[in-house]
Amino acid sequence: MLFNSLDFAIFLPIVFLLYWFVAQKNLKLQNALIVVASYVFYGWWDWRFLSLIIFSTVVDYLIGQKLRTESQQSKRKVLLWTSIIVNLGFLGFFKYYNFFLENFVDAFSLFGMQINTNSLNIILPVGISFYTFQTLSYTIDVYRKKLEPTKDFMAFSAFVCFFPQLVAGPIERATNLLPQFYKKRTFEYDKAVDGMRQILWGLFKKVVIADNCAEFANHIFNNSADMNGSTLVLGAIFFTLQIYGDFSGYSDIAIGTSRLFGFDLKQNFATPYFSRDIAEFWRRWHISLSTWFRDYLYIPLGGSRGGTWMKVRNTFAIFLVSGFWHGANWTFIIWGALNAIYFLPLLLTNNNRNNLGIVAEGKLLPSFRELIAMLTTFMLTIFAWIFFRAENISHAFNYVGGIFSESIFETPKFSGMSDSVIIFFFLVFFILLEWLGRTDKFAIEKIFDRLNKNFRIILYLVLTILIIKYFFENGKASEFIYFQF
Amino acid sequence: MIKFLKKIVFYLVLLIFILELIIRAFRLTPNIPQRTISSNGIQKYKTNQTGYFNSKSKEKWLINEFGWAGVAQTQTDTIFSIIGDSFIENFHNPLSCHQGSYLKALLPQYSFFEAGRSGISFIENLEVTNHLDSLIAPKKHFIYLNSDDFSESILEIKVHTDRAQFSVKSNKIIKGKLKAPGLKKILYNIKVFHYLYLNYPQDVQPSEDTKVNDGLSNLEETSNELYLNKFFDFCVNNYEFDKIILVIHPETDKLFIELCKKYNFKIIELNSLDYQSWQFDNDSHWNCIGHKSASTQVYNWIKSYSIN
Repeated sequence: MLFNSLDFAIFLPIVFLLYWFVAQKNLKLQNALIVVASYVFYGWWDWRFLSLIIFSTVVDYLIGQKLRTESQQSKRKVLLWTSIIVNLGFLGFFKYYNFFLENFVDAFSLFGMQINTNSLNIILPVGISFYTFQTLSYTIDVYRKKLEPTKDFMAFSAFVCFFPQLVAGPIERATNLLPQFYKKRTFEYDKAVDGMRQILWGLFKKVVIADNCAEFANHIFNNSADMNGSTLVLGAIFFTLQIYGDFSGYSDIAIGTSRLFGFDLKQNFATPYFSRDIAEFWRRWHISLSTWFRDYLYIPLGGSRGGTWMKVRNTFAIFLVSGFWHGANWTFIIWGALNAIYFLPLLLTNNNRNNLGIVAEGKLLPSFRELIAMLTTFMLTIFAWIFFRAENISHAFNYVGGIFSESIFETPKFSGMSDSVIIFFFLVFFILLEWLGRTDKFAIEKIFDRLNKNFRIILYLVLTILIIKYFFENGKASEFIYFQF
Repeated sequence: MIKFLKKIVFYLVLLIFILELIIRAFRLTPNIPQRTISSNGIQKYKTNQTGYFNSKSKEKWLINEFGWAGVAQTQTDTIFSIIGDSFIENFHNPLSCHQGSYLKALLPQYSFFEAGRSGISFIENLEVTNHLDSLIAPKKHFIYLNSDDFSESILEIKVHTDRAQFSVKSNKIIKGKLKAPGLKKILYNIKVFHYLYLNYPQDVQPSEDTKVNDGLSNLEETSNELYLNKFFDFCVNNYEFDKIILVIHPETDKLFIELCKKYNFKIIELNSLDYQSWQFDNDSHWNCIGHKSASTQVYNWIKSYSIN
């Protein structure tokens, strides 16, 4: 079920009312309702793959129970690796089987050996990368004794399949989310209103910003061979804004929806495009994934504690794995490598923690230096996104080649460009609000509070009407980009 | 909780009210007239209704005293009726782009009377000819048809409860019923709901309220032809085909045209070298070019047959 669909618009109020009016008196009932609702939510897409989630839930629950009683380190390690192999096994099979097979065949063909293999027509289960990492975090934390394994199977099931963040994150840690399932939730008015506001902003980002940018980005990327350099630059900018609007929009809806049910999820995006360097960007972009890799991969590998070689190795490891996590395509790996290359100079010169605070905090505008730093980081990010968006490596290089040609000085030109004027206006409005709300968890969390109540309602209505207009105008609910990961 | 729900309801009501105003101001939904069924089972529109088809329409449609939109000339002795579905109803175009208007300009000595209604089947069109005979006694009936009008006439091929159909098994006509008129009245009058209904995303749009008869859903072509033959037999025996001329749309299935010829129906096969130029960009209905071209071909036929 998509957040930006009428199905969800009907599903959410039903579950909400059942949750607060029927299941409110009993914690177990609250958790059971969440599990049932989450399975319906997921099964709406393809009920067959529910079995994967259920299997994963049972395996990790049982391993958690075993880890509770097992004191022998070697046996604990076996249990941990069982969980890792089962979870990553599913992920590897569904997501990477064909990729490895094709590359294996290609590698052998380089040496003149032809291997006949049949690739499988595998459907990638939606959200597998997200819930796999979430359950793994539980087992690893239990193994590390950072978390007490749960005895409550229903609470654990609800933690694994919690529908707001099941299919595209944020990837919640068991240490944060699981304990919230142990306590009966009571309705909090302010929290629910705040959740609604975040859902509204998330839908605006997805339906008005991302989906409209997608139209231009797709057109330009799909016809890149016929486009001049300046149009290709525009295409890359449109994609940069699309992916942010799409993914951070999803996260906002997920976090907002969770708040409606009394849960607090971690912030996943913190205005990353206002970052002054790449290190800051990665502290602000897809925070739940970055910190997951930091805690479960980068730090176990030694982090930045070792010598130069170790720093280089670990940095590349985390960025390459991060790229590969996004999909079985060399374009994602190059995207990861590019970010590693951007990041390494900062790390090796100990400048990776220069910008920990919020840019221009307490000021309306950034300094000239900050502005240049933000623009430089933004351009580096745009360049990397070209590889992320391209169909394959040669498409990416041709696209980049097209940008760095004489035609970059020509006027941008593509069909439907006249329609982009109104979108440009929305983008300015969007970026302005994001800037003004950069200190908050989401752009409109507090900035509208300063306004007159009536004017505030008008602004909410304008946002809602724009969402309705573009949702219905597009004729169909478009999927979120991160569903494919 | 109650405070929260009250706030949500207030916000929703306010939103619906504002959307209603916007949709009405910008005419984002078509005005659709209410229907009624006459004593002889003919579905028409309630008289004196008026409205715009869409935001681009410069002229309002008007339901005349007879219950149809369009030209209703009865001044001369010789009247020709023009019968059909939404193509003849023609809410899409101004009155000057109707078949009746074009033909009247070419043949001022005659009157033309349009009786068109969306979704009407061939068999119901034939019923309309009987109705018009008693009402205005036309000299000839021109029934405009495409492939769907034939197949939708037969109950055993596909059930359409909202229009008249011929039942092959019982060898009689099953009259159409108004489909949820109360609900439609609400839907068409509260523009927000109508807008949402019309623009409901295609990929999850509910299927049309027509159901395929289970036992006959996978009819082989021969069975279909058998039904069609029985249907045509019924038509020949029950209607005055001396007075009826079938005007067949371009790109109509040859099977139907051959059947019409086999039963010696008078037909006008409309030709178009560039049928797309007849149609709107996102709508298969005819624009003014299409209507003018079609009427010219009908005019040529009338001239060559010297109907007088």
